[in-house]
Amino acid sequence: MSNVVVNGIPVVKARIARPRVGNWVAELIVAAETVQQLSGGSRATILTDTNAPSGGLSFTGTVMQGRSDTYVQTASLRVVGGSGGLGTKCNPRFYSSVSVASPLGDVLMDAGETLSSLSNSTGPQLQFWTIAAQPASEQLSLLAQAADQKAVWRVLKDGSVFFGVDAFNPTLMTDFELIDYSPLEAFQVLTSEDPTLNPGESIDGRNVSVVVHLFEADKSRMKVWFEQ
Amino acid sequence: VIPLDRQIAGLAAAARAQFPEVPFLKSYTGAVVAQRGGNSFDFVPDDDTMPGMSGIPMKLPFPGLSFNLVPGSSARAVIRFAQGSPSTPEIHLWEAPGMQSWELDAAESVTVGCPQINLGSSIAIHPMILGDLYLLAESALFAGLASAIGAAAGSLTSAGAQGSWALAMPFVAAAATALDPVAGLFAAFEALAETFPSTIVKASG
Repeated sequence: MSNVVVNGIPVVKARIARPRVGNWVAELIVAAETVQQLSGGSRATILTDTNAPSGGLSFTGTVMQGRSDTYVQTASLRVVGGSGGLGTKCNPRFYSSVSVASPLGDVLMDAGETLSSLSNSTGPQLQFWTIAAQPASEQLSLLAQAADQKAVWRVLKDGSVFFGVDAFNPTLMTDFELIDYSPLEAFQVLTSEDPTLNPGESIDGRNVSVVVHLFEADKSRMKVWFEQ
Repeated sequence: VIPLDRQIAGLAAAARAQFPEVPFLKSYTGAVVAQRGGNSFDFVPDDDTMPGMSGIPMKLPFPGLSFNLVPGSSARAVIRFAQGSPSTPEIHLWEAPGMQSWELDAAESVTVGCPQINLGSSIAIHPMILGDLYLLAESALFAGLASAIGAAAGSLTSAGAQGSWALAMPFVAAAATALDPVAGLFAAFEALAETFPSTIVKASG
């Protein structure tokens, strides 16, 4: 049995993709009889490796509506980070002489999401800013472009939205083993008892772009894609 | 067909997410509802996916042009976003009348390359604008004429009051002398008028 649980329900298999830009997505397989407790739109807390030195990873997200699909003895779920509101269309708004923080706050409010306290680059002034009725995720991308050429947004493990420029600080994950790699495609497959590597950090001097966690009954892996 | 459509829909959504500026690459028609001063206006788009906007600058075809909107007019225009950015709305291409006045300011000159300039309505046709320099020259001419003729008239009045032709002669002579500058005044006006075409309106050819 896997050491991953979602809302306390054991997960048979999990794949959690965490990009440096955008939202994370978890694809989970659970026992069929438990899926009724994980209806679309419900809050989902995914815990991994609770026996790990760091206490394991904790993800806060939302079960996507219409993504549950019972099949034989198992059911498949798709969970996205945060409240699942980043596809919500924003209310049209117009601003004059404001900082990035103002429209950013309204976009997140429309989406029902929260801004991470780790965010930065919300201070630049905008002479004008226009919010069209478009998905909140698209407005976040536009605001990031306006704030700083290197600014990005992504949903963190705790479900809050990080906005700003990544510092690419060295990862705190020091105990890991290299399983596979491809210099050409710039990825590595790592295994660790405490897989705390995050996108936006660096490992061995290389900046991390995407971390994909793979949890199965007898093993866990991380496929790490680096910035080119 | 359905599975293929779902795949294409997914690809389209992924592609769209890479181009969030798409709504800002279009032009939007709408009503210009107020003027904020200078060449900036409040604008209400017809498309309700876009918000009402205030203080939007008008993109001009050339520098030095400014105009005022008729208050309450039903002026319409088109709005665009420079470089597809939500931070750069600009008003272009007016659709309906609504101009109250406009000004053109140039550091050196303005050349109008046509044989006739029409001012006001269609029945007010003027072949040339002369302006302030003409008025100055005309005022100098009229003042000089008034002075000379007034002096001559005074002398002739005095002459008429004398008892004999011999006594009146000096006053008649003085009247003649007073009229001497008249020819000079006309010559000066004519000389100044020669300069009008080059200083006020650049003649074509």
